[in-house]
Amino acid sequence: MIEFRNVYKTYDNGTKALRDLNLRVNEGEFVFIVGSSGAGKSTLLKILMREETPNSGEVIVNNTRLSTLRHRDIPYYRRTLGMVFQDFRLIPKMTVFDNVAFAMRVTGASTKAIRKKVPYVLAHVGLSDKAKCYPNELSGGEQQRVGLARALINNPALIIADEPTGNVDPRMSFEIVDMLNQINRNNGTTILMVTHEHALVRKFRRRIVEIQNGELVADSGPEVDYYV
Amino acid sequence: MFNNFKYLVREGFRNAWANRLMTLASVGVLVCCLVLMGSAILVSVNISNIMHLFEEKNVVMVFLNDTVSSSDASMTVEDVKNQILSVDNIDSENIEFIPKEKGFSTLMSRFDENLKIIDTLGDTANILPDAFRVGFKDPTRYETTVEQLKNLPVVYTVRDNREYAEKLMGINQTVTVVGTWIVGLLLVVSLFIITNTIKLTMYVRKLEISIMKSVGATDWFIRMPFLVEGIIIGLSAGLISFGLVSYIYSAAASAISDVLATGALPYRSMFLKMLGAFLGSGILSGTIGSLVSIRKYLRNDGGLNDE
Repeated sequence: MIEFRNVYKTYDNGTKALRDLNLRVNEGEFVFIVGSSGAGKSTLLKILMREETPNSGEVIVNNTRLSTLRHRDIPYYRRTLGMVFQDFRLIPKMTVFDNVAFAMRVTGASTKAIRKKVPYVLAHVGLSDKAKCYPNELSGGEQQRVGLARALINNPALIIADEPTGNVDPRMSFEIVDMLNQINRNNGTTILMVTHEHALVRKFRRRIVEIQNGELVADSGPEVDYYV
Repeated sequence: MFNNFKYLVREGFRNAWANRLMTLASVGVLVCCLVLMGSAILVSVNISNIMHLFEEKNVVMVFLNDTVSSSDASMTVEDVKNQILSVDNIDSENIEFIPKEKGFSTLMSRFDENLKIIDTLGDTANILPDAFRVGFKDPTRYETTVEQLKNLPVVYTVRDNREYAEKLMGINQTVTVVGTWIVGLLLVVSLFIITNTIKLTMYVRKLEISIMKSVGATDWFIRMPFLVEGIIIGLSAGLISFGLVSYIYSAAASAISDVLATGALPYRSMFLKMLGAFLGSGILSGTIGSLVSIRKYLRNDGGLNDE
């Protein structure tokens, strides 16, 4: 599903964000990415999102070679990903329904398809009764569930979560990660989650990858048992 | 895709309404620009029309004292023609008798339909004398030849177009040069303001744009609402300035016809062309303004952090 091969990334200001990073994530895996701030986690995600390109090395996601992806094909590549952000990134003047529908509308979906699919996904994250609410009327946990619904709406094969529990209280944090865990177990969606919270990582016992100073320093290994 | 189109157009209107003060400012400046441009074009069109009405520079109209075409005339047309030809420098190939009736009908045809009512007055309305259209062999001796013609007893007056034509040409050149500069300057100013209006909208909707990008919106999907906003500005400015210029022109044209025999071109003949020009240039500047302002946002591939 994801492959980083000898990836180097140095920013224009001289910051060496990634140094010879090699990582392979198989389809259906759930991977926690940990490491202190400035370790290169954000760069890793930006490369996956195709917001940044590595200076050298190869990144392949879902059979797409990111180095040769043309500018006009980037949107179509991103539609195959589901993104969950630390700050939720919901549009304040849109209802929960519209926030989720927004991601579907962008792909050119019809209003009919949107009306059918959005309530289904909102029910999936337990927010059916909040569809008409605005983001500021929701708790952090609920807002992140909206973010999760938005990430799920286009049936992505890969979900990238950037510290999804960073602005959510601990009890809700567990719920969010549990939801991601369920999505992974039930749909086989590959999940990459960047986090600081070691308690959560320990609790869920999935694959852990640690990055320090732009290098991969520890990897609990692929979850081979998942397919057995 | 049609659903999307409707949605994106609605978003464009929402944008324009959300910062309506800036929208109004853009429309205002663009209206100034278009009104000046339209006026300059109309003045120029009218001047070149008048120039066409004049014959070539070395041709003059020689008006006669007495009616020669009527049966009781003291002289025949041939007699007068020979008198004129006796003057040195007259081109015998290029001399034409214009009876008063023909001169009158030519004059009438230049006027608006409404003035055709004069036709009902018949011959009594025709106060024009008979005339000759006379060409010169050597244009450099223009002035002396005109003087000689004026001295013929049969000649009432010579209509000397030269000075008139040169003045008009001068006006036309001034209007063109000054107009081009002012319009150019205003065009830059209005593009600048439109660009900033849309940049403001874009700044307000920065979060939305970055989310759009991260969920895989194409450049055109992101661009559309801003393009619609630009076109709304351009279209409104085009319509308003068209109305203004039409009004000013009609008022000016009636004032001019009081002074100038040739009169101004009737607006009706240019109505569609002017409407097209106004709407076209309005839409064009709106489109350019919005595309320029969003280019920067689309150039980088960012979606997460493009602050």
